[in-house]
Amino acid sequence: MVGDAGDVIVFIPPAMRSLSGGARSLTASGRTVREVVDDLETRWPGFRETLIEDDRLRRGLWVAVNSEQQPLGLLAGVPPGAEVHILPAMSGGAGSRR
Amino acid sequence: MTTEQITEQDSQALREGREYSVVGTRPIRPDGVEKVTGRARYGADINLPGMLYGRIKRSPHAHARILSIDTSKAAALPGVRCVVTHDDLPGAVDEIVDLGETVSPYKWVLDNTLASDKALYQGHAVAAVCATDPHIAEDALELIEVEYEPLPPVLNVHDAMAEGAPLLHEGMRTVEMVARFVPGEGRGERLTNIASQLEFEQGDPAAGFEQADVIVEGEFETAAAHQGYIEPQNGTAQWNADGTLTVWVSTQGPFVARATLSRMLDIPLSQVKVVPMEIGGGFGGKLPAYMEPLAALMSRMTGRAVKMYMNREEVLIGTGPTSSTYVRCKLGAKSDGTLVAAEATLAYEAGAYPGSPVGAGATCMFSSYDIPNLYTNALDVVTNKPKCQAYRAPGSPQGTFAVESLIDELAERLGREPMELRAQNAAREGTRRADGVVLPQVGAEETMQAAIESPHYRSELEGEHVGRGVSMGYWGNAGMESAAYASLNSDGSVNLSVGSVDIGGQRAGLAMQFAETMGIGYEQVRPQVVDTDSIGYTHVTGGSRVTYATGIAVHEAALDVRRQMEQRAALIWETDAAQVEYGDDGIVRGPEGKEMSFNELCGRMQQTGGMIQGQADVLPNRPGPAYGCHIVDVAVDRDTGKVDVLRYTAVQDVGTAIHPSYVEGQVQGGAAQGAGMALTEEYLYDDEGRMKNASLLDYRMPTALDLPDIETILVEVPNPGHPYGVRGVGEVPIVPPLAAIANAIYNATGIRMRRLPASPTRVLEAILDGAG
Repeated sequence: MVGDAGDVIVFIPPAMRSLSGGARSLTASGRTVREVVDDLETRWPGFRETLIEDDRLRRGLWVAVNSEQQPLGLLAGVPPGAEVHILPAMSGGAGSRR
Repeated sequence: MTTEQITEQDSQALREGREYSVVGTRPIRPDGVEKVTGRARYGADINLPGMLYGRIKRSPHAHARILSIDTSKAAALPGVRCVVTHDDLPGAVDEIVDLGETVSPYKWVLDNTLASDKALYQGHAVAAVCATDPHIAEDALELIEVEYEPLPPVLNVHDAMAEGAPLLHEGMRTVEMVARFVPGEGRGERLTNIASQLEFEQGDPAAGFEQADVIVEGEFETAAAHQGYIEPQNGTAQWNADGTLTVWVSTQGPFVARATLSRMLDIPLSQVKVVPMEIGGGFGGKLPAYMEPLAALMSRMTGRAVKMYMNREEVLIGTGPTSSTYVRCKLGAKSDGTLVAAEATLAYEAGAYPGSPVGAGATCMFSSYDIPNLYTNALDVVTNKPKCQAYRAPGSPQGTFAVESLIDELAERLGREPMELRAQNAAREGTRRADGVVLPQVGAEETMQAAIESPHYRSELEGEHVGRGVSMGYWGNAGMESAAYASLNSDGSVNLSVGSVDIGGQRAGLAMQFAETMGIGYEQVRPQVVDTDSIGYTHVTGGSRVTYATGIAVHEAALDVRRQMEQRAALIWETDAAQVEYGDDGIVRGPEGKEMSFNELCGRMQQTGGMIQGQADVLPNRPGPAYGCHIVDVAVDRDTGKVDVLRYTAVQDVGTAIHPSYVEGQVQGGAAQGAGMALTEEYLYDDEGRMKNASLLDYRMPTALDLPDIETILVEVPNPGHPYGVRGVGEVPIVPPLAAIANAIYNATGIRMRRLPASPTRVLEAILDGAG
């Protein structure tokens, strides 16, 4: 469900911290994961290219909002105050999008 | 009503202590009679008119350049209908494909099906042949002439990561996972066999270790282990005259097989029908497609059905086991036992192509505990062995072995009772995993407490050189897509169709959930696993997901039926549907005390608008992580090094046990497989990379004679993400045995087994070295 845009916290994994100036988390705004990524891109260029390909979350990545995996990927809603994690898919045991 | 709303409502009922009629009972499985009478149909039972038999030519070298392949003599052998090599496969394009379990460059999928420029492991398929008779096909393999240029093999992670190591994939650079998790598109500076690197960091690990009063650390290694399924891989393909393809196969993922076949043969998904046969075990090993594409390709070339099946040696050398692993791990605690920091470096062998479960290992290994400062560095390393595949909680047993061994050591250093130290630091709702994800409601504390209070843990050890060990284990479980279709009959019986292959009694568990939601008897529901033409997309049987996710699908299909039955009753009673309610007891109630049972309404379907079908397609995302705690007593023979398991108890949070017998069976099976990894199971290779124990006589899995009855204690902390509280149960129980047994050996002998399996040879060497 898509609600009003609000500030959310995006956790930056170590391998992406070159894009965030070393920050472990960033505050961003958006009602969906896509809007959050777009907002990050305005201040921290490179996130969009890293996370998105062919208008979808790059294969091999998955997104968690408030620690729940989001099968809708970029289209998933992000409530105000949410935590957003971008994580690598894990192979094994049906875990490619775990 | 959305899935989330339905689940939330039911979760509320679940929290209020709802009584179940069917859930929690132990009915007979619907496939039982067919199996015990030998009538169940497996892949090898498929026989079609004019069928051909396919066989595979495999590389004798672990690492070699393929200079040429001459198939002319084989093709000329009477009875041979066709011979194929990599050149007959559709050309590789620069594309990433989703294999259900993982993603991979398409070229590597093709190359693992039939090698192109290099053979990367002994057993790597280099050609395939089909003939009118399996013996002719076998003879034809000998006539295929392959010219190799042998190359030095790389056989473990240490050699693979060494400076100047022979490279498996020229051009491979280390990928920083997350930053650009596409295997083979690395941005590292150096050409390497390290396919990818994944780091997790929480808190401030350096500061955490500075706070620690006690630090323990060590290096740990585990060996590759086979999934141990009884039935070898098999597949039969028939290219039909209308251009469609039908494939009968032993697989955990019919829809993934369909996608692979569609991609490899370049035909639409709708023209591929995959018929999943009864499956003789899989445990992750039957997720990839090995032979089906070749059978299909040769069927297209010959116009005849082609059947292929592996022998046991081919299974062992030509398909993927789990990874061999190396883990360096460190834990820090305050003097009062509080864990304050942890770090680990993990290097898992992927085999010939990237994709070990090292990410899952890094995620799971510390997840039994609430540790504020964490760092993990996970490396995926290619070696000249078969591409590893999933095996029950892939990656978690190996990392957990390191952590739980060190927890045991920490308890000793602090003078603490091992289970109490664990319970003090137990993960709980709100604990952050290494990857940052916050745990929902979980049952780690309840599981630990049940172990502490168990008769086994409270019993006294008796005898010489005996010891007791414990270990926790974690697995996150999976959701993914599932579909269900229920067709009601006029006599009140129901045909329930699902797309999830039944490996562990899921047909029974799904029928029970449907019956529970409908308020009818289990025996009224006839469940069946259907082909890919007959049901909506359903993800693999893996990740301990079926009873959870497909369970939600059958629950929602039942709710769909309930809504339709309310409308039918309203029609009969000439009232508004809003005045009618289908009750959990299977009775439909209307105004003025009117009632009608499910069976009565079924009898009136045809007069009220026709037969009723319910259906659902779901994609649930709250699978509910699960924990296990195992207690094991062993006796160690100090003269031979042999370790005997005397008593074994497996405690597990199972959410809600739908069918307790099958849950217990899953827990026992996982514990037995983990005991094999701990004590005997190991792929052994010579210096040239040739497997030395490619038979089940020499690859030593435990038998019923090697293990005692495994006692089970089911802890039920319902998962709020499922209408009946289901958590996946199949994978967790393979996680704790490695460390539990190693800790028991230490308790018996004073020897820390940091390299598994703890075979008699290794244990005896340690005793003779004076470590004990």
